[in-house]
Amino acid sequence: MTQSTPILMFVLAGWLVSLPGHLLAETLYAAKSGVEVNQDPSPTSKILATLERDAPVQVLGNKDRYVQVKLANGTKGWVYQFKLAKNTAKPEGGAINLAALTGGGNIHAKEARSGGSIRGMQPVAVGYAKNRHIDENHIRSLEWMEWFQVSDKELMTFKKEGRIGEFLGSK
Amino acid sequence: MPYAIRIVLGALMLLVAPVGTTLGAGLLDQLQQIPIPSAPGGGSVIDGVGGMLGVDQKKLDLVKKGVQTAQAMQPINEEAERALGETIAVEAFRRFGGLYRNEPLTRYLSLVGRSIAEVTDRPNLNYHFAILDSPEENAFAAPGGFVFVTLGLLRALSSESELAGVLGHELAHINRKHMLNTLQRGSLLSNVTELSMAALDKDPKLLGSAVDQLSDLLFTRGLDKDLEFEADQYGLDYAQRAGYTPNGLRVYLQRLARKQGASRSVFFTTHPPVDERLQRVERRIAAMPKEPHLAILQDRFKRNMSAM
Repeated sequence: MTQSTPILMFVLAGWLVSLPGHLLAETLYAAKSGVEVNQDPSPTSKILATLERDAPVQVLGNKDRYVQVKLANGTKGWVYQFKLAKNTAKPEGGAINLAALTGGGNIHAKEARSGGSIRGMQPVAVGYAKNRHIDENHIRSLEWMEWFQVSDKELMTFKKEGRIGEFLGSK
Repeated sequence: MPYAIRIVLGALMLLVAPVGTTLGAGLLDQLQQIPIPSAPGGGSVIDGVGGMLGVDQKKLDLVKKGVQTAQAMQPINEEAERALGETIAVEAFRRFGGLYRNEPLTRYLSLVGRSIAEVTDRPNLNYHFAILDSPEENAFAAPGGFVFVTLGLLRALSSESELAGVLGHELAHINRKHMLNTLQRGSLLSNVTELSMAALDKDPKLLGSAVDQLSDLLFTRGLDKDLEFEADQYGLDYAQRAGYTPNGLRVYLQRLARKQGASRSVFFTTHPPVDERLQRVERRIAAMPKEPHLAILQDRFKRNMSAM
C-alpha cells in the first residue's frame, strides 16, 4: 500500500492537469443581444457568429481589449471585452407596484436588460403631466426624445470615425 | 495509510489552489477595471468609496444605514423606474427652457452618449438624450435612462472627451440608481409606512410626491455629495471604457473651477464644490490604467457644434 502511494499521487495529479480546458476556463456571458464574435481581435475582421443576450462563452485568453472565446458549438473567436458580462441577467426589482401609484391594476416586474421592450410614454407619466397642468409642448418634447434614436449602424460608423470603442487604436 | 492520504490530499490542494485563485480573480476583472473597489476585509462598497474619498466614519454609517434600509425594501422595477424618469423628464423640459429641437446636434449627443452607455453596467436600458434650451451650464440624468444637457453646457465644452466626461457622470447616476435609492431612503426615514404597498394602494398621490422629491433632489437640493463623487469615479471609468481620455472631465472641471463664484448656475448648488471634485478626479485618474490612443476629438466636437 505504501508503495502505491506515489503512483496514486501522480495519477491524480496527471488527471487534474489533463482536465479539459473548458472545465477550468472562466465562463462569461453576452451582455446584450447582437454581440459579434470576430475571427481576429478586430471589429473589422470576419464575423463568425452573433450572440444572443446571456449566451455563455468560455474564455481562452485576451489581447488588448479583446477576449478570445470558445462558443458552445466549439467555434473559437474574439469578442470585445465590454460586450461580455460576468453574470447573466437577473430579475431586477419587481416589487413596487407602479399601479399602486395610480390606484390601477398590477404591473409585473420586468427583467433587467429588457432593452427596447418599453416604447412610448407610460400612461402614469402622461396622467401626471396632465394633472399638474404641464404644457402639452413639454409632453411632446418627451415623446420626441423617446422617438429619436440612432441606429446601431450609425453608432458603429461614428465609433470607427472617431477610433473609439472597439476601434480604439485602429488605423 | 493516514500519511499516504495526507500526501495525496496535500498534492491535490497544491494543484487545486492556483486554479481556484485564477477562477476567483476572473479575466474580466483583470480586463475591465472595477472603478470603485470593495474595501478590504469584507467591507462594503460604501466603505471603499468613503475610505477612498476620505469621508468620516459617522457619515459613512449614516449612508450605510440608509442604503441598507433601501436594500431591505423591495426595489423599484424597470417599468416604474422609467415612469418616474418620464415625469422627471417632463419637469426638466418645463424648468429649463424646453427642448432644443435640433436633429443634427441631438444625433451627435446621442452617438457620444450611446458609445458610453453601451459599456456601462446597464447596457440594455433604453437611453435617450436631449438638449435643453437653457443658457445655464448643467446636465441631468433622470431614472430609467433619460439624459439632458443644456445649450449652456455644450457651449462651455471644447472637446468630445469633455462631453464624454459629463455624460459618463450622468450615466453613472442612472447605473448606480442614485436617485431611486435616495428617494426610497428619504421616504422611509421621514415616514416608514409611506412606501409600504398598502400605503401606496391607499394613496394615489404618491407618484406626485415621489416626483416632487426627485425634482427637489435633481433641480434644487442636489444628491448627497458622496454620490456625486461616486458618479465622477464611475463616469471616468465609463468614459475610458468607451475609448475617451478620462482627462475630459478633469479639463472641464478645471474650467468650471475658474467660473465658480462668478456663475449663478444651479449647478453650483446641486453639486459639491468643484475644487473638491477636481482633487478626487485627479487622484482617480492617476490610479487608472494608462492606455494609448484614448480619444480627445476636439475637431469633431467643434464641427458638430456648428449645427447649434
